[in-house]
Amino acid sequence: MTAETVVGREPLAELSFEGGEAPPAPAVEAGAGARGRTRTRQALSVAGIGLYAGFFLLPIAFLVSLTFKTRDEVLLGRFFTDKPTLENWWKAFEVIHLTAFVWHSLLIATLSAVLTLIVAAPATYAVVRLRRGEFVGSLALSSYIAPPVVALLPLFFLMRWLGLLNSIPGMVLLYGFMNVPVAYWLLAGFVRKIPAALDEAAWIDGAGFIRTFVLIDLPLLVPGLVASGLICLILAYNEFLFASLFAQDESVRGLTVAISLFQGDRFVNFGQMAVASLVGITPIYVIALLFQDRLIGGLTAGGVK
Amino acid sequence: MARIDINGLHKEFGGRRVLRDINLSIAEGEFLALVGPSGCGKSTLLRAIAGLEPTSGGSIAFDGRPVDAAPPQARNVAMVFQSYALYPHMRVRDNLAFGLKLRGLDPSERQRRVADAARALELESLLDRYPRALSGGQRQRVALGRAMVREPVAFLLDEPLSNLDAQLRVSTRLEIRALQRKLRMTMVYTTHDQVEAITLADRIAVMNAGEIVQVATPLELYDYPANRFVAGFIGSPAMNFITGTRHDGAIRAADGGVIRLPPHHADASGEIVVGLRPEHLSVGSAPAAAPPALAGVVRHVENLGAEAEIYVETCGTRLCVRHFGRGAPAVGAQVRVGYDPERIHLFDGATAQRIWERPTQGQT
Repeated sequence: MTAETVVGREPLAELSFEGGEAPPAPAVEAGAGARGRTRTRQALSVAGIGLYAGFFLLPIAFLVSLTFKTRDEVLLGRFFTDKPTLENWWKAFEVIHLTAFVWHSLLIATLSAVLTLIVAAPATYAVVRLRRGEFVGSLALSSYIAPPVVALLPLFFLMRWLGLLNSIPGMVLLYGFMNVPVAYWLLAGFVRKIPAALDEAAWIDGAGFIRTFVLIDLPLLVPGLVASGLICLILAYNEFLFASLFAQDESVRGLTVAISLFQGDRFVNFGQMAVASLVGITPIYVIALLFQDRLIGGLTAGGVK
Repeated sequence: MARIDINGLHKEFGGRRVLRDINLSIAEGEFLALVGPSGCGKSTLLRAIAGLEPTSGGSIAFDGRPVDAAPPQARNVAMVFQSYALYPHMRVRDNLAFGLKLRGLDPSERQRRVADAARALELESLLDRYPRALSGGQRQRVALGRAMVREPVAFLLDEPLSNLDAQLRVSTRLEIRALQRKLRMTMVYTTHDQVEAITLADRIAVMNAGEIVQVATPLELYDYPANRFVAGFIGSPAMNFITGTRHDGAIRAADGGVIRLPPHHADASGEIVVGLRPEHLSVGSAPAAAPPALAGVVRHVENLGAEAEIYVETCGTRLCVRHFGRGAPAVGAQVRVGYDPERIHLFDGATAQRIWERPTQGQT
């Protein structure tokens, strides 16, 4: 699951506070002819979905096949191999510290996603719900328009000055702040979906702005926080540009940089690179699968009306 | 409970005047309904009392103490929202106790108050449910309960019954009124339903286009609407209006129909709008001698069982007549619409203001 598919699923479709109208029930079709048509339609849609899925799965399948090929066979460019080998697999873990790199990536990505949410959740609430400093929201988003490479040099000197180069805290801070605009952009929709009357009811009940946010809005934002946190985690996990410059040292090196280093002086070790890539994307897919229910959760249904 | 005084309150928003010069005093223990069509500013006024809506000027005081600078948290009012605004992630019990918890009440007192409210509103069996597992009527009662458990200075209800079905609305209406009387609550209640306002309120403030048009008891509003807007808004079916001009002792309508004036309207002149309530009119076929009447043709009859609404074309307009019992004339019949000159309302054609009766000799 990629970031795009997570967004595209509209995780809050069931969170409608208006208790949206149920879709019209399909008309009951009578007769064998109609049933036959239905079956044809079903078969067609299965084929369509299969084709669609195949389109996205093909690169992964190619990656898998690469891992079982010898170096020479890779160059032939064939999909199937006559003599599958496991050599790439044990070499990948032996030659490079693949597990350590995946661990660095996961650690940095997770902590930075948490940091992003800690900054973005109250900020989004303040901007969207309390309408305080709305220009900050636009400003944050506008910073995301520029190509990241523009920030490379200033960031490099800043991080060197702070002594944060090649350090886990440095990368966590970098990604954590870098992804705040994305999280703001994602969370804004979730905050808007919480009825303003809930905040007002809490104020009338005597809760201040901070307590209202913590006791009322935050619990209702959980699906949004999970979704946004997941996307920030994926963005941080997949980031290469800054990592290649600020986290080269083996003590902090993450997966993306590690994969790039398979490109040797004379040749590229495609087989091992494929193993590293497969291993590297696994945790992120597992996380996405595990949290998929939280993304769709209808926690707040029924509060209003 | 407190007295609420509103003085010269106004609010401009985006160049539009949402509230203009609102002056209103709500007595302690009084049930005041703010009524008017949607967009008239009644909800804005209610929210201004709660502190949820910033105002542009004027003042609001509780028991003589200005609260203009106080945020909603410090005003100690209770509010029932149109959408109920129950906290969806809390059980009914916690929804009720939330405000008490925030105010630092000790758990035993908290429990007692929640139990009291639950008993009064028959919510005892629902205390451990989440709002999503409640019906509309139950949610409405929880919202009321959340307001009741606190000891607020006033209760503000924003169209609290508009999401209930007709039957439930009537029974809840009775419950709210009984509760308000029993606890002597100061209650401000917005509704666009004039029947709700008339049946519930001690006094009604009719609003239109950001202004309070008239504040009076329900019967005063019905008997003496201050202008044409109030006259048309209060009463169902709505009051009939006939425009005409003064011609010695009578009003002559566009098509030549003549409406006799009572003696206490002797000084009305110029273009005049005559208001006739459907329930003060009668239809008959024979030109009866006693009541003055207007000749017309029945265009439409709506049978409601106990009564019928008969629409009669006369004086260049269509008059609604409430006809009690059976025997309503058929569509197309030539009828005479009888009226009582003592019960007609007159409004100035230009200003739409009521032309107040001048007491005649012998009357007090």
